[in-house]
Amino acid sequence: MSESAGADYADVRVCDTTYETLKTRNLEIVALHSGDSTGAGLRILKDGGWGFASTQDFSELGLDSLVRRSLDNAIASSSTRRKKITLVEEPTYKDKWCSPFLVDPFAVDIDCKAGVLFEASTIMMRTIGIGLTRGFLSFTKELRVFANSQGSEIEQTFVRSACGIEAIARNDFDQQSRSYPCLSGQMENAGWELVSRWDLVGNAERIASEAVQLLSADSCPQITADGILGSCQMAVQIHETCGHPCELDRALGHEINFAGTSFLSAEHINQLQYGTEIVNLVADACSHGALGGFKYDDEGVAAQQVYLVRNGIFSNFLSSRDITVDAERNRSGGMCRAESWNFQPMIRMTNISLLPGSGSLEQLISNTEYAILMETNKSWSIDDRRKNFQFSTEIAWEIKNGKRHRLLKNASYGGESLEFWNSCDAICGPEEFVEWGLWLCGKGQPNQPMLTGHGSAPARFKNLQIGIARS
Amino acid sequence: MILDARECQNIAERALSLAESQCDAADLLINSNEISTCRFSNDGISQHQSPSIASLSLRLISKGRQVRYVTQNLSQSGLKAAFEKTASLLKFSLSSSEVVIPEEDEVSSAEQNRFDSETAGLDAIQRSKQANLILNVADKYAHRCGGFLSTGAESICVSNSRGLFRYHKESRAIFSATMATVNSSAWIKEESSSLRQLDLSKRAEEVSARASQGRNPLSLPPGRFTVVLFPSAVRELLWFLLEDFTATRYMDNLGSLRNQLSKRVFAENVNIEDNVFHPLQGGAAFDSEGQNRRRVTLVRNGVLEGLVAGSRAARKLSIASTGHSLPAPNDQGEYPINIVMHGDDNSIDDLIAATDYGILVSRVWYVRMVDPQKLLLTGLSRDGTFLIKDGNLKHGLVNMRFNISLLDLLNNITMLSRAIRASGERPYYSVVPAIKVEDFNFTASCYAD
Repeated sequence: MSESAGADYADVRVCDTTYETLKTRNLEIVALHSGDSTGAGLRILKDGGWGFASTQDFSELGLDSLVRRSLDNAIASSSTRRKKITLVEEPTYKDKWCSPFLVDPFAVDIDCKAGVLFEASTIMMRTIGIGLTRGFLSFTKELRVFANSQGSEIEQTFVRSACGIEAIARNDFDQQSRSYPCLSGQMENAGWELVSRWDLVGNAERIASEAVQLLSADSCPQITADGILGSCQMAVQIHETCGHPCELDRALGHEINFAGTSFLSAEHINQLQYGTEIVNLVADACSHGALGGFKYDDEGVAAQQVYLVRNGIFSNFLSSRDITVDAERNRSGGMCRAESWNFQPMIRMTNISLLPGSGSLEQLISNTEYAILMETNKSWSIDDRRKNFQFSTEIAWEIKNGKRHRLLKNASYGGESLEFWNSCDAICGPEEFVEWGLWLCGKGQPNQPMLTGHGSAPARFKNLQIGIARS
Repeated sequence: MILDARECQNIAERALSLAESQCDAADLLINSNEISTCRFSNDGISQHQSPSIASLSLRLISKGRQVRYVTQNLSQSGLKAAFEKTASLLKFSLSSSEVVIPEEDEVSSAEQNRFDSETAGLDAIQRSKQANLILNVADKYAHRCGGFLSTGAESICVSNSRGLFRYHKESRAIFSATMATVNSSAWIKEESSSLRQLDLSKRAEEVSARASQGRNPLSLPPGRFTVVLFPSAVRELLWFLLEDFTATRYMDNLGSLRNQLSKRVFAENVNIEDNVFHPLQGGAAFDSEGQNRRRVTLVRNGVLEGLVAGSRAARKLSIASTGHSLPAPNDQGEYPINIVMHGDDNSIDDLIAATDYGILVSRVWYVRMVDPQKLLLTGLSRDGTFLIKDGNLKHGLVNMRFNISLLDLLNNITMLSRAIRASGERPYYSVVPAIKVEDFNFTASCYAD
């Protein structure tokens, strides 16, 4: 229909999603939500201008309207283009794929699901000083069918699961919380086995106890010192100081109004010392179990592993078919994604990960004379060019002479992205490597929350500004 | 097309009739939205999207148990499937005496007309022409540019098995533009129910002028400064206080305002209310349970006077609901989304003119909560930070990071401008002034190019 209407290129995504969310607060279910969403999004390129429209109406009239609205938008856009949009080449594919999972989470009884959260809550509430506990489980099954006017026909099914618990301790003067597995929990391309693997019940007592201990812990000192960042804190660090600045649309100024720009430019490729030699950062959509994994992106480009930083040198950007560094030579990196059927896809992170080094966290601690070990993000902020950052964590420990010396609360640290990565002097090994899932990455207007993955082991950084969050 | 009242009535009747025989009560929310957005940068329009979305959110209640299901399939078979799935989940929910569906509230005489058919029906070519107005200004000054224009309409309907039916539709026009030189930038975002209220060319010229004025910024060492905050910046900071104005959080003994009702919490010149009826406000005059939104004075002359309460919290406190319920079941209970912070009879220029030495912050960015007890926030200035000297904008400044307590900030306000409808990134309607504050803590200067 799009071709006969005059489109130069068209692609369509049909998404069919079912989801279920269970939330508890102490021993009460405060949300039992489920739902479905089905619709189609049509993107048309006409005379160098993009148009996009979406619909839930699959009747002939509905589809006619979809094509007309998308084409009208493309024609109108074209009339404003100072530079026409073109697409780099990509092979066509006919394929079916399903993300890896063992147990269909929708086949698990809700009693069983609630039971896990109630058991974890019961354990947390036994700890004196805990005033409130929260827990959640969330499951999604999504069918994404993609086709384009060049001949691709791709069907992908995603099964995603998420879980998390939180213990909040409070007294008359303070309030401290601990989350597990991470702030807002953990989400992966996985089935019910994710909930078993992360063992919420087995970690409930520990986090409750830590939350209470934090109430009487010393505040993190304001110092310049080495920092060891836990794996889950590293996920946020990678996301903000590598993932976002490597988005090519930002670097070219397309996102200047909201998400911002980047300190990187095309001239930096293979020139800029992004980090120390041990720093290797990749965008790896081929890691299918992580939250940013897939087989094809939302414009039908096959998943790839792309080095963003290789041996400390900046190597590449995140790109799409219409935004590449050099349209003559480059292929899209396969990072064009949309939140759902009702959004036009754009450059987004996939799984942006720091490749592991060697050794365990305990070995790293034992090799450290003095440092602050910080874990589980509590607050994150970075400027619009992705240079100046400040993060806070739920918990920290002072490391002295190779040992955890004392527990610290209200830890924070900050710095500049390139200085930070160029101060990395140790990265733990594969045994500490975890692929964390973040599901609220914001970009686009209207905002498209995106699922991204970030693998990392704990790592050590020299001379961080620590304890800087003070009014 | 957004759903009109008759279409919503039809869907509601079909859905509720399915529920009638098999549960004690049911309520539903029907949302529809057709808002088109064109995004642009110097190369022209980069994205031009016209999504069309309608959804039904159905809550079933039986023997004190409740469960919610959301579907976008509004056909008879879709509604039937949604009802069956919802009913099958009911048995898993815990029984609670708190679960009640409200009766018909008296429809407020102050129902707002916030629909402009011209804005709702703007076509793709007209949107592109409007976007071109801004691009032409960027071309004229050779500025880097980015932004968007959204136009369209949305509707919301609430109905329940006790006969309640409420419907509201509203047109939306939102535009934002950033203009940038090689080392400075300026930004604007405005919204209204009518595009005619937004003069895009004029605003683009103003933003370009401010970007030019900020060229070659200086880097200022961190410290405590007198600061003038534009209304959009005030709006973004106030967001972090809103949850503390809810009865549920107050009863949970959480947040920065616990045990502070009827006590002085801010400076005397701080007056904040939730008031959907204010002429510059937006949104429906009823909540997700169809109850009238009441005008609630939250802070009067610096004293915490009231809280918003949804039906669940209202029952617990034996008070009337203020009409701020979120769709139940949920953890939060209620939320204020129509904030009016009263201003004074000054212009923003008056605030600047009354400042001997200080900093003007046009926009704040990436503000995050560090400590909810003290409302300690961190964030950065962006797109227009200026040194004020002897009552004038003296020079552009490199963006700066701040760490401030919002409680302190609201105790340090020395001047306010007239309140305007402010727009930003947080999802609420706000009418707020620019403010001049003392002792604003900048902790780092961002790195210049």
